[in-house]
Amino acid sequence: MSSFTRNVVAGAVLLMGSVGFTAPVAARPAGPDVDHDPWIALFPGEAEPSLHEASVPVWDREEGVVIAGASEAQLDGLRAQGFHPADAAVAADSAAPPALLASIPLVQQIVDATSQASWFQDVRDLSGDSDVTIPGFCTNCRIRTRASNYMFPLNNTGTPLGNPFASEYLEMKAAGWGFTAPNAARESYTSANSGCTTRQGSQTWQNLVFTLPAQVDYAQNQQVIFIVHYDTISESAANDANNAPGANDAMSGGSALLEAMRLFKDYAWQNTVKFLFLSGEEVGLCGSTAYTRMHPTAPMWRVLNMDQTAFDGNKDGLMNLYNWNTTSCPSCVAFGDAFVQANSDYGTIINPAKIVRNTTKMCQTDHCPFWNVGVTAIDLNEDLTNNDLCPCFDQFQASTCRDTITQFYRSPAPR
Amino acid sequence: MFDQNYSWPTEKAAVALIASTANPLYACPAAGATLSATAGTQVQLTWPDVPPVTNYVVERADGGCGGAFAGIASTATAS
Repeated sequence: MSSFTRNVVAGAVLLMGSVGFTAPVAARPAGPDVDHDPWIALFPGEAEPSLHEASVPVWDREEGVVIAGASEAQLDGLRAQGFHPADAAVAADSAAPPALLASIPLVQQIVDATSQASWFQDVRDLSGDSDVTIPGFCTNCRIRTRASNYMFPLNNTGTPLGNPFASEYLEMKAAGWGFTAPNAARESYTSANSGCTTRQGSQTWQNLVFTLPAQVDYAQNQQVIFIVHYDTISESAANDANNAPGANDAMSGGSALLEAMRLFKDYAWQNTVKFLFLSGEEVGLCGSTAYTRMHPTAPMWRVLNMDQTAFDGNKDGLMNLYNWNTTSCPSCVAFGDAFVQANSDYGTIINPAKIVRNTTKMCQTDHCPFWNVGVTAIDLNEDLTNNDLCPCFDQFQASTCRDTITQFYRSPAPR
Repeated sequence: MFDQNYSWPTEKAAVALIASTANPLYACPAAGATLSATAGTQVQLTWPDVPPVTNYVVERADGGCGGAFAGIASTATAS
């Protein structure tokens, strides 16, 4: 997450309320509440905020109409608020759940195959916590920085050895899973592309783009785009060269992309999946802005941005889903609904009560340039809404306080 | 500190969302497990029967299982 607007985040407190839904329909784990048998119900569009507050999953939208899956109790509550579903469109759902509610066995297979250990090792490798070997570049070296100023030619000189080779590490991992040219690409951009005239200056930076071509969407007209920024900064330009590990910000979220790439390669897909490792985020969303300017936006169907997700200082377990709002981006809210739904469909992965949906236009990370060009995007983060974010990241780091997996807090003073 | 047990569910749920949105069609067969080819002026492909399959479509793609496949033949026998 770019920290130059940290105070803005702290001030933008808007808690929409937790959203939860566990529907005991076919092919999904049974929930604890039998009253959650959903009904297919059509509501007027203006009912949608109340549907969210009532934790009713919204399945789809048509002009002026919201299609939702409410339980009987939820329907009663909504009627009490004056929102009545169209009677002709209400149908018992228990025996024949709509396709939108059905979990997909292959997705469950993938989710079941994810590995926390694999993900965590990727975080360690990319944040200088463990040795890595990158053939042709370094042996048993540590990636101690991912600062944009040091990662790319001609600046990635390998001094200290291996230090700036995060891009090469990612390419090595991707190649091992079959992502090779043209489905593995470095896309160079300048400040003319990014608009980062001051912070990027005359340097050429790069984004890494890995593509999983689709079986049905041959032409890549309906891309599902999984993004993260993999650049970092430290408290000073001098320390950027050696001390910008960025374990939480943003490899905690970013390593989810690697986990997906590791698993997705073994399946054929309806839609094209693109994995974007973006640079220049910390100094002004440069890589993501450049990407949106260098590619046609129409095929960018859905974008999920991962950022820092590993700090929970108050131990309340809350995480954030930024999906803007139904006025400015109804498809973003619908994609947010899909996240809540997928979370429930595939094992109630996150306690639904811990998902805080934030409807502000938060622009401190890389989903925002996609919003700005009309692309459906959402963002996952630790609990920025309640200002529960890592105190030791970006320019707030110091020699005793680095964004590594072991050293978030300043070490106690020697006695 | 870095709390991996707090973070991991978010990563896992994100993978679930991307997977369900992109919609997997089938799991790729293990490479080389069932198919053999004899080269000559033509290429002859053979594979064991896969009950209860009654018809096979041979498709070709550049870029492995993730590539864009196009059908090139259809047969009711395993060759």
